[in-house]
Amino acid sequence: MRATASTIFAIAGLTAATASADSLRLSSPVYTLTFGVDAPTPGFDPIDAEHIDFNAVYQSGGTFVPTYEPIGGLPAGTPANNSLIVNGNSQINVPSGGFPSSFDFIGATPGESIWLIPQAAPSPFDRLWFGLGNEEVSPEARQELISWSPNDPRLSPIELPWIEFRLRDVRAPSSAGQFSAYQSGGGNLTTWMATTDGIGDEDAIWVQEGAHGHYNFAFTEQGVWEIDLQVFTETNLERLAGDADLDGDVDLADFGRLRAGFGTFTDWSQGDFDGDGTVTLADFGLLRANFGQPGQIAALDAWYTTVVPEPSAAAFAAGFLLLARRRRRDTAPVFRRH
Amino acid sequence: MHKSTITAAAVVALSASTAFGQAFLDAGHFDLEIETEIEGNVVEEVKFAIKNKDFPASPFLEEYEPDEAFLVPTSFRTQSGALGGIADGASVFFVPEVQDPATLWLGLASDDTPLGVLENDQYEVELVGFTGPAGGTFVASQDDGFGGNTIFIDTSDGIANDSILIAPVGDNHYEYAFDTLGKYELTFRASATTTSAFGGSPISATGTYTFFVPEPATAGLFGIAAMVGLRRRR
Repeated sequence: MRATASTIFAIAGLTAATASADSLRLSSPVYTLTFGVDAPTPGFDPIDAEHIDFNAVYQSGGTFVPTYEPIGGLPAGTPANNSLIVNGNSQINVPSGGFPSSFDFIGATPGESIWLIPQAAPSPFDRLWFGLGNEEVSPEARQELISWSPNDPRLSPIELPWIEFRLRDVRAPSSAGQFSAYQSGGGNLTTWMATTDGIGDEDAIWVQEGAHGHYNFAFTEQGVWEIDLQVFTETNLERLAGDADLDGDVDLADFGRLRAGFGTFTDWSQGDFDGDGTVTLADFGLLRANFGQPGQIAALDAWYTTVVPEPSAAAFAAGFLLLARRRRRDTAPVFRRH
Repeated sequence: MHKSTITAAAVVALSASTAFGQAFLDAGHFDLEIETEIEGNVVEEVKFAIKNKDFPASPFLEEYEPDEAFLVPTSFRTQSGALGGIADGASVFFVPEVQDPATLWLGLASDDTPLGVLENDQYEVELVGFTGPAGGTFVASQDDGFGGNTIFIDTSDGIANDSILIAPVGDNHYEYAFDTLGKYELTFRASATTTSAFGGSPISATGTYTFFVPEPATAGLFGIAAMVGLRRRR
């Protein structure tokens, strides 16, 4: 039997995507941070030789506002308008003997130059000192953030209102360029992000809400770099899965948003309903299960058959059956993810 | 030999609270803060404080006077290689340079001093007084990013020339390491010269901070208390 989308969903018998209970994980859009590593950045207002933090400020209702927040009375900025200049004072030559082998993740060889934004404040302040944070959250917004544990061995297993910054892409001046973020001290070395072994979900930094942190950021090449970050947190918000435009129902307008965001790293408004930062068939399944226009469902299924090869459709149906069984225990018409 | 007048058990019982009018700061982000009070183009006062950088999301108060709190290192390691006057193989109790929310994270800062007030935008922070348990050494150091470190303060050879330069806009973090259990009193003097726009005058302040280094087993209980405290915040 040919497994059409209609038959798949009829088999699954889904009527509503529901889930318990205590948190809604939310993602942000991807923010591109532009770094001029010993190089100009045409089209941007440069930020140089100051203490500045990239804050993805959580807003009440479940969105983030990306800002560059300076310390010391200088003007604030945004990733869209400002670049971060890693000037020549940040340049270090790898000694001929090289760094200790534990620093191989940086991707530099003896004799090569790297540019390092230090984890410790420079004195004098002759170079950029850059951090990641989530400060300036309003009291109302703070009430929506819940404590959770990222379950990452690099962090103490403490539940806090963490904000996660996940590396999504790095565009270096050349294909040989490598980027990393790490902390060292007291004989301990923690690598948070490193492109030398590719980019994956483990390339992430967590910062407590209301705080900011500093890291060693290493760049192996001179030139303009673009670093893509996506931000995550967990909230106590309740939302109807699939309601991308938050107008209280799930209809073709929401489907249009999901279709536009499909396959990309993005947020709820473009279809990331399960909070993994990517719009996938899992998000489509959630939307379809809550879809409130029965007469229009053929449009969804037609789209589905264009993106899923036939053999995969049967597997998808099986996955949906499992999803439905797990979620039927719950009653609230919202989707939340632990 | 100096002996702490407060037992470890008493310390645990009073963790994240106050005793004898003093708080035990064993977890969270605090700064040894140099506060520069400015009115117009005049620096009216400089003083030391302890600033809670996690406030209001913290069980502790927003700010303490230096003598209102014990600073409690709860991290422990066996030293690998010498760290200044702390010998290879020694027991080291420390406040880490890198944040771990389960422990105290202590900066040295003057965040609210605008740029342009101090010449070279710098405070010099000197250790001018030190008492501790017999044989006890205090070392303040900073990692160089590649496994080495820079030592700024090392009391094993006295306290002459033990100083740190900090920029106002920097939230500067160091590892504060101790090699002996007990109570340490560290007196710092911050000094600078204001720029001509602010009178071109020397300014300074002195403050004494107390570190209480508990036994490692007790430190573990401090950690538990800290975690409970953190969880209670929400």
